[in-house]
Amino acid sequence: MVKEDFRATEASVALLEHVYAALLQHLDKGLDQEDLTFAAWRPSQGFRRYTAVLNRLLLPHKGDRLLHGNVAFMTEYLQRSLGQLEMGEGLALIHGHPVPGWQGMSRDDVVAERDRLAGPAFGRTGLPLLGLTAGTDGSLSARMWNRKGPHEFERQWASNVRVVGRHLGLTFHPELRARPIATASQVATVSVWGDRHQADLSRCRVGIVGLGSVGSLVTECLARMGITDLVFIDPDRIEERNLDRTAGATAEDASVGRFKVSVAERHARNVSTSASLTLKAVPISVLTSAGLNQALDCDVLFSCVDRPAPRHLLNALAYAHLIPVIDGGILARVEADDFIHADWRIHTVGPGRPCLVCLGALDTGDVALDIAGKLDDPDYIKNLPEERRHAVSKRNVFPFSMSVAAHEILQFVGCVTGMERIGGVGAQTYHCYPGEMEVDREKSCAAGCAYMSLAGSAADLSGNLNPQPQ
Amino acid sequence: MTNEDLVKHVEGIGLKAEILDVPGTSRYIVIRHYEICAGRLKGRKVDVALQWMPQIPYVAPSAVHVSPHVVAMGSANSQSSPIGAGWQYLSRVLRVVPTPSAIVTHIATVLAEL
Repeated sequence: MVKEDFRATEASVALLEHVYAALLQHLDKGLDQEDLTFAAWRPSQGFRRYTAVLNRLLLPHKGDRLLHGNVAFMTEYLQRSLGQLEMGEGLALIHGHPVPGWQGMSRDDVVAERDRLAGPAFGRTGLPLLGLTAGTDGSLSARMWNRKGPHEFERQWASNVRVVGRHLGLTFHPELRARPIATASQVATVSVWGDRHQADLSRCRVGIVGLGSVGSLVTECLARMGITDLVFIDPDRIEERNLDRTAGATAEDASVGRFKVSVAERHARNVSTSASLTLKAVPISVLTSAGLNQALDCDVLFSCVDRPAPRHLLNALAYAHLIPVIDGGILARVEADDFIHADWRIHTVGPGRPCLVCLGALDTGDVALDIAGKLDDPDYIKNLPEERRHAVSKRNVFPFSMSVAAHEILQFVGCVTGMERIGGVGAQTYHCYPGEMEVDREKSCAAGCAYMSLAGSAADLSGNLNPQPQ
Repeated sequence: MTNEDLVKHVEGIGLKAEILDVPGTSRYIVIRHYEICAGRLKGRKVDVALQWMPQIPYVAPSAVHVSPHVVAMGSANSQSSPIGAGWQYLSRVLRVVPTPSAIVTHIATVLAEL
């Protein structure tokens, strides 16, 4: 990315939970001694956000830095770290400060990053130097040093730093993503999980892909909870057949063929309890470059689509770009107009959790059929074996969707706050009969899982876009 | 796995693989002179093509293309292939984790079951 591109973008940092744990262990030298390390990162480019996906530490050896209360790196360490970077990777410097919270920079910090490191890092990689500071409470603050001209670099603060694993740990810039003002209409909500968790939840940028039955309900719930930053992605328009299961949709929406994202936007604004709501309604498919870029701007995504191809994309994105994806699915069996049974499942995927394929919630064979356009072919579906026909039937009613949406929201709250007593401890499957929820605590990705192997790679996923018929 | 891994595997087991670009449609990996190893067509040599799949992670194609035609067009989930008139599209989904060896086994199974 050339420097000019940064001017219009927001900066963010994401890192894997196990990298974060190793980082804290390395930096922990007690309150009287700071420490540092170099690290490697890869760029993840969204529509308006540029994320540095930090995926490995380049830890120092003995003699690589001067430890004298403060800390300084030796030139040999810098040169070795630059040499360890792979094509497409940028350099990061991470150091600790003996105070908690989002960290500003001392004059020495600025000199080290801007004057000593930004030039060599840009010269070697073509990417800006990434600087991070760890506070004593585990908070991470970050900035990028963008090239402004010859020997001239300017600082761009990240709006947040995300640690992604079973829990999504967030540190927000106190001004760029300021703590929202709690409103009187949020008193009951805040009384359950408290101010601190509400501040994290409400500042998350949450994307909802698919604004049908489940997506419209997720939208209403998030807006009522006071989430301040929402992105809606769906190319479809409201039809009459959607009215029995789309929150906020009216007969007039169906008659004029209003975009589902527009209906969701109107509904969210009507019910939001937030003093300020930033909302982006994107009436395009996530399987387009523009749609994918909008998804890459989000801190958390809800996958409320029932098609295999976009779920394959979101499954890959969760690992490669470190954006947790909350997904659900409904399987209703109806034979000759007789209802037989319904199950639904809810799960969160991303690093530290099993992927949709390893959970058995996505079949790559169905992805291939979707790409080939076979799932739109009534003759093809008619000739499928009974089990497969049920799986692609997309039968659903509003109460099923309400249950799925409610549990997806609970998993979102659990993921962001770390409160397993709200979000549960694993993938959930509900059986309408006899009426019980199964929880899979043990499931993990199979060895060599192709999705998990993308973790932290910031891989280019454009090959998944615009499927061509075979 | 990648498309390149598949080509390498096919060549590694002694088969000849080529890349075929069909204007206006797609790119294919073509395995030349593939000998069907079992079933009604055992011993017959055919060319087999698989669409080049750009997905990440790799998604196995939902069809095997074969030339010349091996069944009456329209039977056994067959249809015309975008590669050309001499080719036949057999709609067959791989329902296991795609690996090069799983795909080669899939081709053998599809052709043996015709």
